[in-house]
Amino acid sequence: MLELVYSRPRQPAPLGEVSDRDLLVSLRGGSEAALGELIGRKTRPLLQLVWRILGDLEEARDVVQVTFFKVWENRHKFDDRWSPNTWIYRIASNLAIDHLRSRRSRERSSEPVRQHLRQVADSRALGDMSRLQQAEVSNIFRELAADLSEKQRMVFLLREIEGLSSPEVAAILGCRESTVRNHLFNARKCLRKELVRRYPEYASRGEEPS
Amino acid sequence: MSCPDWSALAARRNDAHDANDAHDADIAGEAAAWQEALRHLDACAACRRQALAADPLLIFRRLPTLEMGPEHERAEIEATRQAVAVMRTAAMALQARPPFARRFPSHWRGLRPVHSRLAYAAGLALVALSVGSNHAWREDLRPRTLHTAHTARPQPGLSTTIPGAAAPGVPAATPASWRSPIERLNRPKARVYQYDGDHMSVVMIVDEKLDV
Repeated sequence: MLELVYSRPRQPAPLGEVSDRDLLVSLRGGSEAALGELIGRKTRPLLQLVWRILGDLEEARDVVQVTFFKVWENRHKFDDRWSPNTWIYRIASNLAIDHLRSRRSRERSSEPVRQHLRQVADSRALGDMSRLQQAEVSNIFRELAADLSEKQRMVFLLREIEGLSSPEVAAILGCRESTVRNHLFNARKCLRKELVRRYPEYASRGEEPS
Repeated sequence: MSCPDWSALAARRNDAHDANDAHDADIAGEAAAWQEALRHLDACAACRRQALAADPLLIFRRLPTLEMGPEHERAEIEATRQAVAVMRTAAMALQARPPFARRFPSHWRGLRPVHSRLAYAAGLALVALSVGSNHAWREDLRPRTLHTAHTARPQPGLSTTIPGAAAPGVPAATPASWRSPIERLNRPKARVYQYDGDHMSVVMIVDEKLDV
């Protein structure tokens, strides 16, 4: 016969120490503290990603805030077999794509920006990429990426800049890996072509050692 | 380690990324070699010129990263938490049903369109208060030493579009037009949001239970 000789109530681990997956499981159970902890962990990486997608920090903030709201609203859909990051990034990516689409219908002309950038580029005697400021790189990307579809832009950023693997990108975007490869191939082709056409001095010279 | 042959790497990469005839093994092998070369590139200034000549898109590895100090990050996180809380409150307001709806469901169904629109408008106002980007809807972060029980201190790094707002931590000379008429709220953790329009001022008080 078994006899209870000692019993200690199990203390749940502090939320700050649990894994992302366990955090989302708690969230699924309706834990508001888990939501707060999740926001603490993921605000920065999500803001970084969405900011790169949208190119505007204020808009990125809005999208990130709505992302967490959507995470809360859809918490019961989370399956703990999924990668937590993939699930959250998927929500953020879909919102960012929607935002890009609505923005694309608002803004049509990037010509003034292009001319300004071209003047800046021309003013540089050597066309040396090592002297390109990060802001200029950002502006050039924004200009060239305007020619990409939303999915192509997402794939390029997630795969080439954020360094995610093709399976991860496929899971985030809800498509097959071959589709990711296709988008990446087309995005790279388009970006390279436009970079060479619009900024031949950068594309042909390469960077001087700094 | 010697610098990789960027021309050959880029050519292999372009071949492997042609999705029409790509094989998984080719892609995996190419990806590993490319990642190793990128790690080398990040640490080696000597081969940047060759790398960029082979693949001009490497320029975008210099896309800026988000610069955010610990204080700024804390403020960003807190602002996000508050915005999400307000959105949740708005969503709950949209889902709420008045008591008579339970007793007279058929009457409630008839009234719902009008009621929903009103609730929707209220919800949108709350959401705009929190997430609007280029509007004056923002949490009032000015120090509240007069008239209100709002105890939140200004948070460094948070921007506000409220004219005349003080720099973080610096008490502002509050213009008369900005003084809140609300006196002595018996809610020490309440937060007060205020928007002054041309013809109307809107004040919203959210208490610790997120009731508006």
